Amino acid sequence: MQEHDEPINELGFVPSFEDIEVEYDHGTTLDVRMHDGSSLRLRKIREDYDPTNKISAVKTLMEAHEEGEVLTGVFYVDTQKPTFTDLLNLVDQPLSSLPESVIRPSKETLDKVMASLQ
Amino acid sequence: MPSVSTGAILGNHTMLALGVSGDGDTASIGMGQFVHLLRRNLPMIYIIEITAYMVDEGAVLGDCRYRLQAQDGRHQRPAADRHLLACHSVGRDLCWPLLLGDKKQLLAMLKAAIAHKGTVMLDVISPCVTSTIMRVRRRATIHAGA
Repeated sequence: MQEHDEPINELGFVPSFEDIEVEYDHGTTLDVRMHDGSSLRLRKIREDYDPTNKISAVKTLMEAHEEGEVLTGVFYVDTQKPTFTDLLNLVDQPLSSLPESVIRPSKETLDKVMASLQ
Repeated sequence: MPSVSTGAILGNHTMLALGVSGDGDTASIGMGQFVHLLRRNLPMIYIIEITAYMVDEGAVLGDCRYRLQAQDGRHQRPAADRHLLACHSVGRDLCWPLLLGDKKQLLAMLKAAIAHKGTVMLDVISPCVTSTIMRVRRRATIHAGA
């Protein structure tokens, strides 16, 4: 076996570990002990945090990064942007349920399209 | 996953689209697809399960953001939050990081995610027991001089 060829997964017996359960308030931090003894510092985003401000969201993220903390909570949201299906202007009925007669243009229609391109 | 989700949603946009991926498939080998998913604002819930375990022996994570404090007290600064930054640079979506063990918060976010139109990225930090075992064993092997 080559020296750098290290297995990262192993099939075998997996002992039981207790679930890690946490509950903490907005604006506070919590050090969470992991199964291997290491810890993770979480910070729950403040309740008065405005998740609609894009610049503020990036700033908050980078500040937490500098502090070695992991932010949890609603981080960023925009409800105004149209979705992919909105932009496509789809019919209400799912395309998968439409009959072929509806979704396939007739030969006359295709001929008209071809003629318009000549 | 983004490609398959796009096709499925185009076929039936009335269904709830929910996908689960890892940090590697999202922020490493899958970053290209992930970025375009956000840009299109595909109406789906995208759950990223980020394996959280100590990576002081060399990162094997796709997005090694959650570097943990080692047992010896050394504190390691997390790397860049690539997929969270991607949300801001290309899309206006819904981004939520949280810990799997905070069930109250997880439940509330899942409910809100279902109600939201557009892409929702739920970033779930998931303590991985099997990875922990491998790392503990490997560390023991190293310390034993094997």
